[in-house]
Amino acid sequence: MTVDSAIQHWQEQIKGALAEGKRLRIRGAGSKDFLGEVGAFDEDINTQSHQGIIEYAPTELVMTVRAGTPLATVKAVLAEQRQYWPCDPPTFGGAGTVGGAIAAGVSGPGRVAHGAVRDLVLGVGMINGAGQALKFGGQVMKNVAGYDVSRLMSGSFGTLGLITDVSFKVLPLPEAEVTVVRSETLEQAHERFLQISRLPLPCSASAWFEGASYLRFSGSNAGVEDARQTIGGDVVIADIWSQIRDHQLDAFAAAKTVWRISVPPGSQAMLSQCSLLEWSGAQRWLLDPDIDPRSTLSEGHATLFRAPVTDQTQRFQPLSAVVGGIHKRLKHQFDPQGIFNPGRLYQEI
Amino acid sequence: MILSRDQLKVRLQAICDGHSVADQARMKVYESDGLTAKKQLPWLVLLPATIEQVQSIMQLCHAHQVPVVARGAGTGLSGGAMPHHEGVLLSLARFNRILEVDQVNLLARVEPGVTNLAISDHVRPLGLFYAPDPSSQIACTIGGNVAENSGGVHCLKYGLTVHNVRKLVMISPEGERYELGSEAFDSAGYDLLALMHGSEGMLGIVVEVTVKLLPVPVEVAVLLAAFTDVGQAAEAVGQIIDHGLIPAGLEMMDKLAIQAAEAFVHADYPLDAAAILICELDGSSVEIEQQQALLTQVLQGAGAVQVRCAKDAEERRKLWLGRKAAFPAVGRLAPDYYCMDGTIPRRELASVLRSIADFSQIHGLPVANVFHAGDGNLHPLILYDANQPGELERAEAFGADILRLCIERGGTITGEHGVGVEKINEMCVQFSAGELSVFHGVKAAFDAQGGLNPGKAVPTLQRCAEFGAMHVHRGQEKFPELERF
Repeated sequence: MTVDSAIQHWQEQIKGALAEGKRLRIRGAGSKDFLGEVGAFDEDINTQSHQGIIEYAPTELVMTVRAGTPLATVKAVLAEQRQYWPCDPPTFGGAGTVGGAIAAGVSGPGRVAHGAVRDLVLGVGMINGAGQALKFGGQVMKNVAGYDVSRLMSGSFGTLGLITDVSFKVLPLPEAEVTVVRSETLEQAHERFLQISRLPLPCSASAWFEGASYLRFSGSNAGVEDARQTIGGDVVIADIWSQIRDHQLDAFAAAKTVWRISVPPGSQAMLSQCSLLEWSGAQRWLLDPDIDPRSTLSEGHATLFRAPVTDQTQRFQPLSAVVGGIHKRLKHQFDPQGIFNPGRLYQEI
Repeated sequence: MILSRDQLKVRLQAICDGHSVADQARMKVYESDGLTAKKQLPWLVLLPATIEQVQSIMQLCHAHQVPVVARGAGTGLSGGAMPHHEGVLLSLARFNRILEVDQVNLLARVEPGVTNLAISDHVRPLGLFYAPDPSSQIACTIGGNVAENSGGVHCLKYGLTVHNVRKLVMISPEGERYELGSEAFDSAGYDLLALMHGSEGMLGIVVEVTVKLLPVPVEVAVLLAAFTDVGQAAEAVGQIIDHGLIPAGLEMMDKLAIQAAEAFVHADYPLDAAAILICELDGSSVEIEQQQALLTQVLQGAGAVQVRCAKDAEERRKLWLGRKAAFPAVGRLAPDYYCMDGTIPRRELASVLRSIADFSQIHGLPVANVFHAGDGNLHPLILYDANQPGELERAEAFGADILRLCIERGGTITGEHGVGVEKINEMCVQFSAGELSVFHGVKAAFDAQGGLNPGKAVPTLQRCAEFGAMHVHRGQEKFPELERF
């Protein structure tokens, strides 16, 4: 199928769905099927066959790909040019597409240094709920022509439209990278992460689990060596970060419910209960907590990230009345008949 | 109760305890922003100082369908803060307090009328800074930075305003208070925080901003490289990135801009150069030493005839001063100048520069070029004299040619100055009718009545039909569904 014919095919499917009142589930590799609400749908729109790199000029630090392109392909092609996509989205079960990564807006351990998925999105091609193929943003770093619809697509869980292609910022791979480990308590690690975030060191990831803290430094040879000497600890050779990112740690495999708590790094909320602390303290993972973390959370927000389908708990933190109203009106503007992923993010959208 | 216009004026003035301007002579100060070619007196200027006052103003204006245009310091360059003749000009200048610095979470909570530079000045004693630094940072406000998603000379490494703001407190057109983002790194639901950036005061009123702070780098080095050919300087930019270097800042100036800056601030720029690159590195001492050696090698390899590294803080300040003062410096060369803001893929830099030189010949107006080279963001400054009949029109035609060229080369009509009233016609060239309809949909989701900054940023399809008949967009006729005029 050529690119245009793929888009035309989807436009036909969308027009058919509009005519027949069908609801569509947008799906790439299905690696994040567990994430979010189940929602309601009558048939799938599958993006997995819509693969390929449309444009990539390394000196521009921009890559444009079709939505169904596997994250693994992107990583490999970038690595050939000694570049990478620093937001480092998870590849649960080794799978995942770029479209899915944008739609879910979930970032990996590298988020602290170079930004989240949304920070690196530069442009999207999409089909809205009226079946129109549209383009927003572009392939340049700075662009304020029109509202930033491409960043809005990040984390929208397919409820606003079908992403057909994406342009995003990439960076040169760091010259050097080192991970150091130290045995310490969660409280000690938390305090140290906060101290390190106040220092001008090239810290690109931080995590604590099972009684040990891990810090990664990335940058020039000299800068990384400086940081290693300043901070100390034993050098780790194993790729601990993809295990953390993809929830491959043993404790995650055994857990029934996984909560993600997003709070200011210095917050004490849920600290003592968390099994994995990341992002200098700003991202906390709770496994099988006794009570709903939202019942005591006074700042940030909590996502029920993974749970049995029978669990009726709302997956995403409820919105305030005003913000919820804006969500409903935006959904209506992009997808007036509510055909895309209805209920996947919130019941009302 | 519906009030008459005069009653409404009295009521609105009372809300602000008399902090308002209603007489024509005193309102002149507010008739334009930095785009002085577009002027309009408002109906009333209000200067509230509390969130509650803003809410009351918005409620009354909404009930009486009075347009509201928000304004910070008025340094914008696209007419985004140009008043509406029947509307309230809502100045946020009195929202000028830094409310809180959180040294643990590295955040500063500030009011929208605080200047960009004031934030960094305030937190520098703590070893922290706020990264985005538009050239107007001494005067421009953080609220305006959000409205335009301002960049600056350091955004290649540190990102734009959208990358450095964590949370906004907003007032809706109906006067409701709500929050977007949070002190955490992300929030539930759609990324409305991102959507608000660069929205040019069309979606809501920003009344509080929480920005991210960064630790001040240990060492900074600033290098100046001189080239005898503009094309070589442009090529050097790509080569720097190709070597894996991401400088904190990477700026370029052409001959006319160099000469103007040198005459204005004596920055010690080489006057015989066709172009200079100013390049800043930051990091640890050893790191800087290594990167500086590599950078010098790359610049020389690219044909630089001179590479000079500032010896001390004073020399670094001078090198940057010339660049940051480039606009006023060029302003001394002619009675008026018209600043453009297109962005292009970096590889197009050399050829776009040649085309701009050709346009300069065709329109008979000189142009000085200043770029955020690392981001491909161009600021050609077209020199003209508004008192000479036809020169303003020629300058605008020249500018429109540059913007169309940027779109043709895969870029955008505005990188950081916004669309405002200035580039509204070019929006019809960059976007299709369907895309513009989505923008109108976004606007309607936040501001159903359309009272916020009406007529800015997104053209009506009607307007595009009038203007767009001249253009062919992606090989298709524009707006076939609309009648031709």
